[in-house]
Amino acid sequence: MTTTPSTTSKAAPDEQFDDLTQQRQADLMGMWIFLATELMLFGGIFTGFTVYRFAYPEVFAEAATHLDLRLGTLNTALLVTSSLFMALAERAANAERRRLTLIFLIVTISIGVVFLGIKGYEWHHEYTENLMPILGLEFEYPGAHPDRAEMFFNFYYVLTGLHAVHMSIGLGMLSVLVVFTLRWRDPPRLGRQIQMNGLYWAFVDVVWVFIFTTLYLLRA
Amino acid sequence: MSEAAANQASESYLTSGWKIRDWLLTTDHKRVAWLYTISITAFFFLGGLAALVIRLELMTPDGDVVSADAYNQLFTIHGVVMVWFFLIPSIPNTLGNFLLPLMVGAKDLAFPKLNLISWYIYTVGGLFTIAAVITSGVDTGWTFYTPYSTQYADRAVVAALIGIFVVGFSSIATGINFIVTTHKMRAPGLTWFRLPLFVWANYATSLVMVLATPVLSATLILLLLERVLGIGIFDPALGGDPILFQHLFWFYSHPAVYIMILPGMGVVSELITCFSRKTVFGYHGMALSILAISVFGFLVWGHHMFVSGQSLYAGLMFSLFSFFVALPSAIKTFNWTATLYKGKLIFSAVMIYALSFVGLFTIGGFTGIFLASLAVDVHVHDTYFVVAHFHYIMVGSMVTAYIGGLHFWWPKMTGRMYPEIWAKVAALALFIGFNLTFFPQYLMGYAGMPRRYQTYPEDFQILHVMSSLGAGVLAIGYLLPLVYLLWSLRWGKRAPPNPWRAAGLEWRTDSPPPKHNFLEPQTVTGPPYDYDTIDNK
Amino acid sequence: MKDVRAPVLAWGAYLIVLGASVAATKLTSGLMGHVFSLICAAILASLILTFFMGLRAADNLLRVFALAGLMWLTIMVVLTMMDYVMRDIGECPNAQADEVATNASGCPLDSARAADNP
Repeated sequence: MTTTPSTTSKAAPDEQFDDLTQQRQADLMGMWIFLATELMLFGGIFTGFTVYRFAYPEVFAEAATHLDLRLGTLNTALLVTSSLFMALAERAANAERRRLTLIFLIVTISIGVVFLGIKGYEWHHEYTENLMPILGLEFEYPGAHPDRAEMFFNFYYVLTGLHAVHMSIGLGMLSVLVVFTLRWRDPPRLGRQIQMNGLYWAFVDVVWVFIFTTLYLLRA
Repeated sequence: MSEAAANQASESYLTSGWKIRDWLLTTDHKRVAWLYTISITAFFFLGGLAALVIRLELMTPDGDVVSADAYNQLFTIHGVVMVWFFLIPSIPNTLGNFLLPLMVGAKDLAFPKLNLISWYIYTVGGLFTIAAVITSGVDTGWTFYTPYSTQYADRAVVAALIGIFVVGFSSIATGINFIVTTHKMRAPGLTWFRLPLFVWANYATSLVMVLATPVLSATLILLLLERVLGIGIFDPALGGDPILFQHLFWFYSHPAVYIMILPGMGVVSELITCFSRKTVFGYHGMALSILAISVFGFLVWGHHMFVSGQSLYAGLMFSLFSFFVALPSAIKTFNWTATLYKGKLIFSAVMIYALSFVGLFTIGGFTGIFLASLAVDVHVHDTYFVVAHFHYIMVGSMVTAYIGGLHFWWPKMTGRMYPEIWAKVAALALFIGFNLTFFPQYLMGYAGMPRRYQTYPEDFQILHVMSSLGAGVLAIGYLLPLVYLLWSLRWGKRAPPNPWRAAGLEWRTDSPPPKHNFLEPQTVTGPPYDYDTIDNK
Repeated sequence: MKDVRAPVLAWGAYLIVLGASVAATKLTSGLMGHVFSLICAAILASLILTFFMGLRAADNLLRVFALAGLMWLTIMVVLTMMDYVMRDIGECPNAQADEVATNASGCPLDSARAADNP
């Protein structure tokens, strides 16, 4: 079996599948189910946030004003731009245009890195203002109910931190795709891989939309 | 195809390659199923050992075998190991892994590599937790309730949480694999309502795994962050609510009960119909009630929290929803019974396991209705009544179904028959031992014996001694199969492709099956469980 | 390369809605602004889902899965809130448990921090 030439052909599906269509559909479905699990992962934490947002509406709205709205908005715009380039990279790969694919992927990665940089700057800024109640650091909150405001900031760090972890994983996967694009061995397969990673990348963007809205925008 | 290639294709999956890497790097779902079987068996006996020491301690009212601290660690080990490292992966990852592709007529699962990776994740996470729990000890119970777990419990809580967090990914991977396989890899003609109920059950289980497990991951992340980084989401000093932890925890852990029991229901449906030589009564109702249980299972978690301090309104609603789960469960129980009615019953060992399941599940289910009733639960909450209830479901039903299924498909998995006489002895020992262990616990629980206590008033001693003796009998019921099944691997009679004259695609191929399951692509033309046609042939 | 227009247009629409959402937060305060922002978030998310994640072209099954995830999240939030709308968590947890020792702020001891009662 192993010596038959047909199994080494690029157009052949993996051995458990009958044909490429079946494989492609299976991959897509698997990815979407995985994203549903990611939704539930963030959803658990959002549920907790909802509980406290409902219990302490004034304190949370007040605490939100201590976040940098301008940088948050900038980051949101940046992230959707990277999603756009990711979508374009998928189309370029499907059109088998190597250079363009490469450029779009690198632009996507660069924007992602800038996003993380800005996020890091924000964290640093909050650290200098003593608004980072992590590892026993002092928390000095100027408004009323500093204990409940600390709860707001706890959620802020959990949500943005978990999101940043997802971004970093995404960036790692995109870097691998850049290597694959440089090699350019099996363009249709690369197109499928870019599509899968694009789904993940866009999903991370969706999560950010809700993080941004609930943390930054629901302010006093 | 050359003759050599044809021989290679028809070679059994068991004989093709016995180097270490042929097993540890295999992507064959049948071999991964064996890897899982070995792992969960090890975890099962470890958890069982902890239970035996607990039962030994409870022979007398005083704490004389282990210290109070050791006792707390023992029930934590027992709970953590049995829930996460045995019950959750038990049927899906062993029988399900082996049978799902065979039953849908596929060559393998949709993502074979993911399947292998899930075993590694599971094993590494499991061993890590065990090492942590045994070397430095955790005494939170398997539920890790806050604020005890975040602010008071010391030692290995963090390590245990990390291990359980990691194992969660193996559940998710298995869930994704099963759902996609069921949707996309069915043989031609195998429509949804021709699927075996075992496939339905594993499909529904996978849905629960995929939707619930991430919430456990999120909850464990929050616990870890609170312990390690001091980001206190459940910290009352910051206006946090420790009960929120219970909400999130039970959002996973109640559906997890259905992860445990649904595959057992699937197994028993196969067993009963085969040994009644009759098609399943109300097939559509059975399939849909499996789905209904998996959905309703998400609406009832608050019945674990009736006395936690949640609002009375929530308690009432969760109580109401909990009664709804009884409906599909009752449909299933009635349908199994109706399947038996006027069937040509064969009381083989497998059938004894299946009938034990129905009986024990009925008792466990009925007492579940007691516990779903708000007022009654306030009386029996945190007593041995609860302990007995969930052991009837999770051990009496689930483990019995697992062992019954293991016997039923043993010829298919190994190509060998097991000794029927010994299997019957083991099945009876299990049924008798189980009831002797856990029925007294209903009585003492109703009389007020609280759970998780090392010492107790002397009035309870008779019931406790009965329970401990029963545990000994039960241990025989579990150890016997281990011995004779291993024995049969070498000395058992060789099995024909279909020793039980059962319906289902898995019986159409050799025992044990070739690497790609079937030599020719399979098609399905009729309904499932067509035993009239099989017997009249 | 086909179908580049749609994602670019979606990107433009996204930025406009985002701008509206932020502007609403700055201009109005209170509940109406918050509701508006949340609606905007839903629009932004569906723009990404539809145009960048190909849900527009996807088969129905995938949409069902996407929807199922959303529905389960709703179940979790709604049933959890079912408890919290009827209960003030600002009060001591376990407030029903009477006749237990309390700390300085009157809360039962098992809900106080370890540091508070050495």
